[in-house]
Amino acid sequence: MRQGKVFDITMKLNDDMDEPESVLADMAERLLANMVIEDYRVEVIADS
Amino acid sequence: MRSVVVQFPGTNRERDMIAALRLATETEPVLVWHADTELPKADLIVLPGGFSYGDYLRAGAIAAHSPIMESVKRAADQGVLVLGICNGFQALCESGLLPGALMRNASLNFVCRNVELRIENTETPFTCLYKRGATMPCPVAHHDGNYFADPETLERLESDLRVIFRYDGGTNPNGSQRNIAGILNEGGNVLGLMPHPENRVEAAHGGTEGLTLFKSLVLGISDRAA
Repeated sequence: MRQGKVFDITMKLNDDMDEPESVLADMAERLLANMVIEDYRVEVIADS
Repeated sequence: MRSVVVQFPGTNRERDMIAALRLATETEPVLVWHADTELPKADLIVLPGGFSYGDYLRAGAIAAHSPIMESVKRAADQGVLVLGICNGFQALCESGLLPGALMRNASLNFVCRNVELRIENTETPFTCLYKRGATMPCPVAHHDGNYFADPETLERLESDLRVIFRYDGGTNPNGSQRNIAGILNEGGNVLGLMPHPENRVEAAHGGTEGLTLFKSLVLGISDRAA
């Protein structure tokens, strides 16, 4: 059995920003996921 | 002895903690709000139990990132004693001050009962007045007390004698690995445990075994100062 959470995060990109994948990975590893017991996956969906 | 109790939104054991510290130390602890950024000079910093930030995201996760925690981390790095009980233990793990994590109880239910605690190491300022191997009844009240760490971390905790408290007599209430109830950091100055010794400090609680932890701290701190 797998249990998890999904966060829908809306980002406004700036020119001087890192790639969204890396920003989101940083957010996941610093706060959203506890890497001792959890894993994460990032999916970037461009605004149409 | 100068002690500080940190209060987060949702903390609910700060008054019990202050009462226990007052009883053991005969001094008045200082209550510090989570949004403060500076701690008063202290010999002991306590992160008490409760449901900080409503346990949103994970128990202790938001508390670990609150403004006061930078000062707590700095003080811990400088060797100040830090005690985290229940939600405080969860916040210490989330902040990286202690290894491992507290997962949801194996039963998936909130547990509120007395357990038997075995004192595994008395060579610490938190437990120096206990007898090694002795057991004591102590209340627990939590939903996320199931201690988990990877095998390497567990081995290091065991070999360094940093498992300080263990559930005894088949009373593990949450499925914690190796019946772990409380652990110490590498520096020996940060202790986290799930049970509530502050709720067993006077006869009306059914016993006073928990008071020994706070009296140990008084002795341990005076020994460190000597």
